[in-house]
Amino acid sequence: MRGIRAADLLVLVLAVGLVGWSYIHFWQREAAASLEVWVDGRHQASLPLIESRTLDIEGSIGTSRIALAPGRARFLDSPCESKRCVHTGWIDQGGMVAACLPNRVSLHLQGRDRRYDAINL
Amino acid sequence: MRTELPKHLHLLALLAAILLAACRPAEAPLLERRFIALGTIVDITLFGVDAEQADPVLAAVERDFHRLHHDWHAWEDSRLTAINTALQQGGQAPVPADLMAVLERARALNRSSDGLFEPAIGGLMALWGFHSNDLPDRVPDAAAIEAWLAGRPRMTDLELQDGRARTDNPRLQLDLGAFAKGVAVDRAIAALRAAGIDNAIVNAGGDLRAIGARERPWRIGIRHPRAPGVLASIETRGDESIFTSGDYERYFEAEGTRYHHIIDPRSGYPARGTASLTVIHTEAATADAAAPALFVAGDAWPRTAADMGINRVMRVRADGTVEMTPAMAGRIRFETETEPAVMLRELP
Repeated sequence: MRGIRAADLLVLVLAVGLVGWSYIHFWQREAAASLEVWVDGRHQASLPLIESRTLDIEGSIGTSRIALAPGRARFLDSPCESKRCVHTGWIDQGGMVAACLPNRVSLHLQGRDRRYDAINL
Repeated sequence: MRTELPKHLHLLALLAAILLAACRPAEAPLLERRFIALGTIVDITLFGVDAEQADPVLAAVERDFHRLHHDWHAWEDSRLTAINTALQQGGQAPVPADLMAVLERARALNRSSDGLFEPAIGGLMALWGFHSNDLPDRVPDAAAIEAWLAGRPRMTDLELQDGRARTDNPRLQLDLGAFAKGVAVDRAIAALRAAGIDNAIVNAGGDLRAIGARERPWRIGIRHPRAPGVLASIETRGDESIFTSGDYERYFEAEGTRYHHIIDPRSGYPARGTASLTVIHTEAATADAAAPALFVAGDAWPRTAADMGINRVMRVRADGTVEMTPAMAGRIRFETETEPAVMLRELP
């Protein structure tokens, strides 16, 4: 066996660099929270919270309009009377929930590596 | 070059190994069930069970929650509203055996809290407008609250015997409120255990009981009462219920003042001085009665905690400072950038 040569060193440096890059790239991408939409006890959709957009969700009594944004989500409108779901405002941490119970639509935020198993509200 | 190929393969393997090490270990699968009952979202999370084993008991638990919802609802037609109507009209009502056990339990907790946990408060809650799916928008007449206080009904006015409830106080209206949630959570945990499930969280709208663990302890975030996100976290041990009462849960604002749903039965008005109060206790039903009782107790909460047998308490005062029992301090990890000012309070 000969000693380590310059090319080996280069490979090693590249390897370490790749590890660093992959760590940042993949970890950060996973860190962007995602949103679970549940309708009447059923998991309707899982959506990444990367870009801003609005979405209509059909619930039990009508359409709930929700907003998605990087790392957060909220109700914009819902066919309920009290609009408590809208007043909840943005939810932005894994484990947080916003719900329109009359329309049986709930939004559940999934954080990076599910830091909390539940949030005491 | 050809002779060096194996060595480069070696390096390639090393690179692959380092890359693999950079990956997060896959998290063990959790089984989740979610439904709406008792006016809230119920989340059940299980660890280390497969769906086939869990499905029957999860379905049974969900049915039980729905049944309790129909039995105990404080303002929609339920067995409880039927009892309230009968008490109002004739001072007595038949009570089914399972509901009787719950009322007896509630009465015992009412006694140990010296009346601060008060299920006989239904009339006052209705007066405030909290017996509605919508939020109230005005403060009731001071005269109406005075009148309620003058004939203030108490759980101790309720006689429970031979399958009947009796009272001489026509104002006595039962509102099991969140207590129903605690009882339901305990029943769900008992059902899961009977089905051989030892690692679970039953979470009813943020109040929960956790048993066992996942590949690490269950980690529970405590909501910050005055900011979005989490104030602190607790890792559960063995079998613990964590319940929080907060002034942010149901409230309305009138003329710049916040009126929340945790009413002090002594004054007839929302209890002041506390933003949120968290307790840890084994049984969910006890924790569920203790959290609002200690919230209402205000600065005197250590006395009430001692009387109710609760020794892990965290109170966030309205000014943002935090009070804790020493037993709680050992369990709380603050998750905010700057730690709040903390005062330790011993129980008497």
